[in-house]
Amino acid sequence: MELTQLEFQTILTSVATTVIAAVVATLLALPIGIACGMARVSRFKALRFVIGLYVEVFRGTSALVQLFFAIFVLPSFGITLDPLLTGTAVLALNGGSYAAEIARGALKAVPIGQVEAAQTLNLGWWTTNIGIVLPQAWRIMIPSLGNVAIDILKATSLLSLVAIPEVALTMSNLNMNGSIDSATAYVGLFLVYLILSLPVVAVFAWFERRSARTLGRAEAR
Amino acid sequence: MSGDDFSYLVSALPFLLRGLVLTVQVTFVSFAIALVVGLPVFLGSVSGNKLIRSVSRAYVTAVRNTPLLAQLYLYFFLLASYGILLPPLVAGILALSTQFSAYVAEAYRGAYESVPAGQWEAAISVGLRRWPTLFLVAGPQALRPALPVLANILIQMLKDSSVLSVITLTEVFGATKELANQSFQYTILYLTLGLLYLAVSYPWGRATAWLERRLGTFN
Amino acid sequence: MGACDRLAGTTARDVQLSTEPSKGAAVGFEGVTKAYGDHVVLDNLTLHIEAGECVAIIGPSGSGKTTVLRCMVGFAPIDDGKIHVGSATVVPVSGSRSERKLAREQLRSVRSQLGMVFQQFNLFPHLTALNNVTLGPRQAGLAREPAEDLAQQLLSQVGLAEKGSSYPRQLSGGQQQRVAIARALAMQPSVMLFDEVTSALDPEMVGDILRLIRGLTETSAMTILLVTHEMEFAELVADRVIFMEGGVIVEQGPPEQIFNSPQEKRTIQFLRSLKDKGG
Repeated sequence: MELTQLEFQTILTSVATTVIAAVVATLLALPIGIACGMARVSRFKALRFVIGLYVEVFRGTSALVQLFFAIFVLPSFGITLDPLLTGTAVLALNGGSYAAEIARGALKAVPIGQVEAAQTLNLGWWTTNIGIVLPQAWRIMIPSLGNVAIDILKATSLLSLVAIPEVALTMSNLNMNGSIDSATAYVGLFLVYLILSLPVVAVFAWFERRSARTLGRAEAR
Repeated sequence: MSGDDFSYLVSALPFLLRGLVLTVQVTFVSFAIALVVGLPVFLGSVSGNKLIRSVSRAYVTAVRNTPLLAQLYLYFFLLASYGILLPPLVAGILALSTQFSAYVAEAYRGAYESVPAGQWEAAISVGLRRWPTLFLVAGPQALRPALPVLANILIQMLKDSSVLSVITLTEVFGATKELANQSFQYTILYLTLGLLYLAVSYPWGRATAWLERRLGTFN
Repeated sequence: MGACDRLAGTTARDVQLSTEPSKGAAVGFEGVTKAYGDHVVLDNLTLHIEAGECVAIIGPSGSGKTTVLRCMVGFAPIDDGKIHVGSATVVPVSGSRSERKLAREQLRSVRSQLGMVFQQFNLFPHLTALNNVTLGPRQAGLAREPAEDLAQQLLSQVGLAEKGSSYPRQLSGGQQQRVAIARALAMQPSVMLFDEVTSALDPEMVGDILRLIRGLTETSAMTILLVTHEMEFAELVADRVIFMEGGVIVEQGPPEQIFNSPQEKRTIQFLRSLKDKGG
């Protein structure tokens, strides 16, 4: 199976697209999620409700459906953007909704004594929540957020279904027009994702180790 | 939303609902299979045998870190090129159940590890062997924390089943796509689709949260 | 308030625990060593306990006293030496496949002679008190009715006759520990191991448990090993007291010797430190 120069380049470009979409979406999803998680445990009822709506809607439907909605329905409301941009934004919002739930759980898991101690020391909102609670919640969140990152990577494959040229689309196209055989295309695709997932796992393992170093062993009970 | 749109929706609904039925059926069957397949995978991960443990870990990694779509392509297109033509329904269920069997195995593992070491020691002290302990002591205690996790997996499978439309399975998403391509009524249709998913996933999610709260620990 | 005050006014006759006639078994440690990495927990330990003897093991935390029990049951595999329990032996895990298989069988035989009560009770939370007690015998082949009769009898003897259908979470700490004792006795062991069984209890409940154990020492022929912090109790029931520190036996002898005229400097220091704490 000989690939032309062009075809090979197309594959590489599409892999790059996959990686970029995954990375950007993740870099957006995590802060969105943490911010929304904090909003959900805040004392502002309206904020909790609005963010709650976002989380429930995005978690209650699949990324694919959200993707189709963004690509096919939004234009009729005048919102037409570059497909890749739209797709990445959808993945970010979808991932963000899961991250929000994870963040919410982690924030609630930090012992209330921490906040109480901060209050007795008259520390302000920022110091208490960002300086004390968040670092401890972060440590709890890391493994689950790692899963969200992997899920976002996997979700980039859905972009192929709205004609965004990431690696899944390219491989199946090349197979359809006979340039590569099924084994190369589909096993190759499988392996691409497997290999791309490894650095993600490594990064979050590093986060976990670093967090354990700074925060010490599991909190005393 | 105009009157025309509304009457279109009414006419489209039966087709969509039939798709939803298929979605639910495929999900439940795949879930049942995943529950079964997940068990040996989990047991393998806690085996004393190093090789079995590695195989189990490799399976979980391979299946969890790759997209459902990629696995679907393998079962449907790759096998087809070797002459093994799986019907879309079979390939779909195969892909869905194998991917989530890994999540199920992890759920079993989490539940198993939540049983305190003292329980195993107490069982040994009254003469229980390994397997009876697993079934009579650890299992029942692990079941409770496992249920909410498994319930979440079910709802995840329901949503991810939309990918199966790629291999021409007319579950609810595929049905919606088909109608949309014919009628161009994108807004109505995808909005309805979203609501249909929410109608199933939201109550289930609340029930799961309730379950999680209700199932206090045994102590 | 010491253990003796709690036991004041009771005699052996008040607490009659008839365990089916289980003869005690002798226990022997031969040069047993156990280490966790660099940390040596048991250092070439040699010890002989007669059948039917009641031995209390005391010492500071980290002295290895709990490890002595855990090694007997096989929760902590030993690195060197042998432990004899009755006719069976616990050996270090090593060697060929067949050697390891043999070792496992020996361990099973050892375990069948042992009964253990834990500091944290470790009752099965999803089973009633009755079923906690019947589980072991039933798994050993006893039919349901005789097992339940046995369990009911034992529960009565520990003072929980009507609590059979209660779940552990409905019982107090002291009650749970009593169920744990009944559960261990149901297996008719020839050696009973008590691992700091009153340390996790509220002070009011400690007396009841100690009374039960005292009854056992006086009415049964079982060999009893007690790891405990309750010095006055040890003085009362033990035939012999062993003081351990740093993985070795520093001193052993009859309670009168250990508590009233200890020979070793470290023993004296330990006992003095307890007095300072007001123990």
